[in-house]
Amino acid sequence: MSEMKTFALIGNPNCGKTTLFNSLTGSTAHVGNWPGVTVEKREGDYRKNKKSIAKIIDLPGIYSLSPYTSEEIISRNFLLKEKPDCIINVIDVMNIDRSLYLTSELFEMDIPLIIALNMVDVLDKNHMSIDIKKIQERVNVPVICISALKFANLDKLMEEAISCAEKKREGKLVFSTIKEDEINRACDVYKEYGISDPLFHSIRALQGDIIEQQENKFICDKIKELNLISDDFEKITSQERYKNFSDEIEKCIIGEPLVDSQNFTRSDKIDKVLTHKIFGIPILLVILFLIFHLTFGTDLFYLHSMGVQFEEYQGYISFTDASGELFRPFASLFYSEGGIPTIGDFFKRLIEGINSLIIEGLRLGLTNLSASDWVVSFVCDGVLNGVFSVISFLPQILILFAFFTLLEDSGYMARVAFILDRFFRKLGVSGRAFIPMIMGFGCSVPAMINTRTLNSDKEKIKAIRTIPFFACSAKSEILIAIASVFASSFAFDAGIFTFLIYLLGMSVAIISIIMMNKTSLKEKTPPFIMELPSYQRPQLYSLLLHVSEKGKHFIKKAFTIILFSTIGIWLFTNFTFDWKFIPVYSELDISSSILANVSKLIQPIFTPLGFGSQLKYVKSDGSTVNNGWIFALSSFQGVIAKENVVSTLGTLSGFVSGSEGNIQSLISVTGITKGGLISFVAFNILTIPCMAAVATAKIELNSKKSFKFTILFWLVVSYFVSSLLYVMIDYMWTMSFIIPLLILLFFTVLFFDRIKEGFKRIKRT
Amino acid sequence: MILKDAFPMKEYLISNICCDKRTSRRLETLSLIEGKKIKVIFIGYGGCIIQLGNARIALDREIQNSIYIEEVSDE
Repeated sequence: MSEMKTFALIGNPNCGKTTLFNSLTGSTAHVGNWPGVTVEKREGDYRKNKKSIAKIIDLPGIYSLSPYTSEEIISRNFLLKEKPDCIINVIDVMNIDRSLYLTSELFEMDIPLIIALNMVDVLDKNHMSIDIKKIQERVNVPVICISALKFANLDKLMEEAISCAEKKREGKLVFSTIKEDEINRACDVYKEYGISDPLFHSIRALQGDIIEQQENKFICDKIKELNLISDDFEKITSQERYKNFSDEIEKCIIGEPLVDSQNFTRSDKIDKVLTHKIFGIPILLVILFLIFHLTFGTDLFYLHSMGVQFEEYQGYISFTDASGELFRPFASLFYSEGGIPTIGDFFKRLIEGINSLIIEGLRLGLTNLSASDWVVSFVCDGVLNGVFSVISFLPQILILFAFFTLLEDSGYMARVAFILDRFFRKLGVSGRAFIPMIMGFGCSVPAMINTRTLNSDKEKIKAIRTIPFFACSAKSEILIAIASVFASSFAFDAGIFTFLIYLLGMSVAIISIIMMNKTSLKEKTPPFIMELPSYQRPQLYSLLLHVSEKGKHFIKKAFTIILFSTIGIWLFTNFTFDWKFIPVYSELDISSSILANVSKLIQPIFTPLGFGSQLKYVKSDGSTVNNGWIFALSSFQGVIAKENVVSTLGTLSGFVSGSEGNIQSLISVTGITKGGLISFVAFNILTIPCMAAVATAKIELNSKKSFKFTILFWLVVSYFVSSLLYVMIDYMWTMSFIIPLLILLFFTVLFFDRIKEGFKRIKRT
Repeated sequence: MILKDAFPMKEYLISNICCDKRTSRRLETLSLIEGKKIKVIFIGYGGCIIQLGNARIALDREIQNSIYIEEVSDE
């Protein structure tokens, strides 16, 4: 066979196109982005007898080839410029009427076309049938009935498509229209200039299509001169597409879907509960709570918290590590004194156990081989630690993805977007933005990846910028550690402290979206029109494919950034300026490292935030010491992974003079105030998230300018909010003017357009 | 009458759609055009869900207020 032919899958959303793509391409699928936009691009190979024989491109789900959405523009440009060898138009046979609008437009192109009537298994279940012969006579292209879900007739589809691709085809009108004369005359103009797909272009020109006017301006002007364009062209031809094509084909479907005596389908019955006026949102909150609990919780169903006692599981593997201690890498894998781990926590412990087994085993081996301390530390604490810091994220990311994919594939996610659209619209984003934001409470990485489902690039940027403000599970570790310190140091309830910080994050997110909507990312929120798919049982095969795609993508792209930054941080934390290595068991401690000294150098930057060079601790002998650099250092470490903030403080507590080996005593010897401590927590919650999230944001934003501005945005917002908190809490009298000023600034931005309009009117008069 | 005043589980005919060109084009591609029969499934949360053929379509409040309907006679 000659070189591989390219086939484009095109059809409405929810027609089963992606299921067909997965069925045809399997693990050969590759997911990327269409150039210049954030819409997912999926391509893969169709293989027969272990040989790739065709390339399949899965175009985004669209209803027409209009120029209004990025998905439609991508599909249109791909078909007209890349010229695939054949178009496979996938149609949901249960919704044939609406699907045929797009089909009628595809017929206008000079590209071989084959129609795949999908979901025939559903047709059979409803005791319906289809007159294929009649449809084929009407359209004069191959029409194949398939079920992508059941892998039925797919080989026949591809055989026909390959055969179709060998023949040439000219675009034709499939519906009779009173505008036929105008269309033919406009088509002649395009043919005169040798433009391919003249019928498609001529109809677009007569519709006043913006893209057509930009790309073929000269020809459109000629058509205008011929007085062929009329205002009602689009409306008339739209109606004719339905009346003279869709309706005719629809008559070839025999029978009606089964409904019960009250005219309810199964989906209606489920919707009655899940989209209930009163119970809809509480049900959603319970489902989300369950998802987060099963992914990130450490005490399954709070059994331990309710009083069930567990012993510590010791694990079967143990050995004496390099420090002479008995090491059990799989202790507390199945259960611990804290309870039974949830599914996410179980896999996390498993991966951590394997990681530490490898690291400590290698450390022991290298020590026994008399390797230098710096070599042991570089391999174990630098490289391997960096590698495993990526891998340790994976189980919970994938499980979270799996849960949300289950909800998406079942059809529930579409309902969620609809329920919440009303509230989110007031902020200037659609209800769809809720899902990635709520995922941010678990982990920013999958949350940012999920922004691909959003409608517009601006909406996606807004979501990515605000996701880190929702405290993820790693950040909640900081909260929990500092909350208990705060409680004992300043007699303030830890639970309320934690809740207020979560609330702070959400408030900053909401205000940021409103401000972005009024300034740099202004756009009119598009109307919410969404076809709700029927509820269906998610397919395991599709779920596994989808989750593994996301996992591969994350590892490939985030891996390099995290690995190199971890090695960098290791280098600067374990060497002094004169390149003396700071081994674990020597007199030198972490405070002599390059990074600690750099932290001391930049400490003044954090002075406005309350944890900078103003921190002085008066010892019992009357001398003062500056230990405040620990906050700068731990914030740095937090950029790799937020868990490092607490672990760095824990490590430092063993070295810093005056501290007794715990975080509470460490913080007490810094002289930090109440406002400073809150500001430190707020800064770490709101600032640049971990390296994995930064890497993901870089991939998803697709624009260097956008990415750089996003980093700057996080730094500025966290700095500004933290310094405000410090000043207002430690110097309460400042609240009397700061709060009114902030309110004034907020409302000025909110009503900036109206104020600007008012000034213009005054100027005119 | 306007769609937002419709009763759930009743059938109506779309008599007119008054919105901007882009939105009405979007509605056309979903087969929401004058003369089409719809059934209102659900109204609430600032939008509605309608049944058109075998499909369920969710519309926001703004669009709800732009679609004019008339009751289907029982003949």
